[in-house]
Amino acid sequence: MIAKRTLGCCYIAALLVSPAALANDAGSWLQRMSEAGSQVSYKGAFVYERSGSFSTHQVWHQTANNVVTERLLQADGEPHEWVRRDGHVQCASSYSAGPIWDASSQPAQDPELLEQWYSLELLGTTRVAGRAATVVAIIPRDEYRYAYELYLDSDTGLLLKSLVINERATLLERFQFTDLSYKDIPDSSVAPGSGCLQVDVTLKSQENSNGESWEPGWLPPGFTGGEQDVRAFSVDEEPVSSRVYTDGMARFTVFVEPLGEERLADDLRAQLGPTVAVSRKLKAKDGAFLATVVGEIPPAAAERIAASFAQPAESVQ
Amino acid sequence: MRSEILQESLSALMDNEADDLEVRRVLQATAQDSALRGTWGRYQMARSVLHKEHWQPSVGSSVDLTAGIAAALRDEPELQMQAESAAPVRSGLWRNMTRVAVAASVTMAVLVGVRMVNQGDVPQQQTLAATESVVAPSFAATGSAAHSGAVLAGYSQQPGVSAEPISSAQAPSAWHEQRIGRYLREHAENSAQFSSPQLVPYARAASIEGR
Repeated sequence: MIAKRTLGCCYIAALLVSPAALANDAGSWLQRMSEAGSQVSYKGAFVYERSGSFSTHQVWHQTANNVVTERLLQADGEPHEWVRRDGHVQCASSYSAGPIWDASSQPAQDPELLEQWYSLELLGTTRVAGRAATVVAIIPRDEYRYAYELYLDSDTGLLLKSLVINERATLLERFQFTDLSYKDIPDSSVAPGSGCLQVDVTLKSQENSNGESWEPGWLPPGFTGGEQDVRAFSVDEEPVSSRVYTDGMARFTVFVEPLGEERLADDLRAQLGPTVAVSRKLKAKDGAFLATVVGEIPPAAAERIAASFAQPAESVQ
Repeated sequence: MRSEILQESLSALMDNEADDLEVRRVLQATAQDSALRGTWGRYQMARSVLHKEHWQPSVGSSVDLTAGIAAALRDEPELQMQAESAAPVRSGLWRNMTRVAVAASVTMAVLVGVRMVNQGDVPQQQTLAATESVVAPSFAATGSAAHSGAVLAGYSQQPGVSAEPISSAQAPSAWHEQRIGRYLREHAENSAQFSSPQLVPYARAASIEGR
């Protein structure tokens, strides 16, 4: 492991500091990172890059009276805009999802839990966006997740740069601030522009009507699922059931929906930067279903999850 | 022969898979063999450029790791040759472009856009292994057998990006293709609600919306 190896020299340089202390240190940096967003106000610009896509964005982040309001504006191409207040999307210029997800159920980043599945290492310090940054490596202990390099503002803990790296050490994704200034943000800066449309609650979550529950038979260790959600993407469609799984760092969503004459599908894999989608056709007594695993996990892991739906008939009522 | 064994040991060392004997052998040989020392240096540099970004260790190493991407491109013949072997035309301009391509492979992810492949023809039992060789070349060698512990390590032997479409692939149905796009957005936008780690999920979602 490269980080371990390079860290090795630090160990030698500071043998008196136990590796455990270093790891804890990395953990406390992650803790700081997860708290930073609700402690500071800033204005900045960042870039996002993955295969086939490079985009630039501006952000205004206001923390006032314990309420975080954030306005994001894509600076190139279509002026996509998002305003998020207290964890909820207020408006978006393009937002496919009618469903409003409840962000309050977001689990806090727990370094101790994370350390079961990743080794956390402090790599050193550098500069990002003109700020002193501390580099934390999050290295998976198995092949079911990616590695991350997080560059945190040494003063505030804010995430300045993030890299996602696969098992072959290929960079899959880069997020990086290019400019950042901490200052009070006036309300006018986080007010939605005219192109930012109110997000309507369209389709409510439904009861699982047919009583079926498709569950993957296998999950990568450490991933736990949230609530199952069943809802249609649009009014005239069959409901889709979805469930989000996370190990505290990586996330994937499992979608299951019925197939039909005009809804043909077959086994398939798609890849978009760090995000993989793997579809498997499931056959049950009352027709065919499509299960799709979508998330920032290695394709082999997604394949294995998708393949674990193997004996669906038994789970059918 | 001897140098091949040394190269193997060196690779193993880079992958953190070398045993004590190999480590000693490499250390001893590099002390005497400047070419091997150079190779080690290039491996280190390529690795640091590929995976370590600009943060590099400053102590405890006998090789100079201070050079950045420009130096790596100038001094890394293996890297460059591999990139060129993927592109047979070699005019002066093209050579420059392949250099850019190498740089791009440092910073860009591997697959271009969404790549979809039907796997209907693949027998169920062999799905994992078979798709590994057919579907996404960049992930071809990963598979379920990826070495745990080798993550972040292992100098990639294929820095050049093969973006050829997969000829054997069937096009997915229009409905399925639309659905995959929808799933990707749903997943991304859902994740974006959970601002963790901070703005990254938002940026992912935005990049999908921009398509």
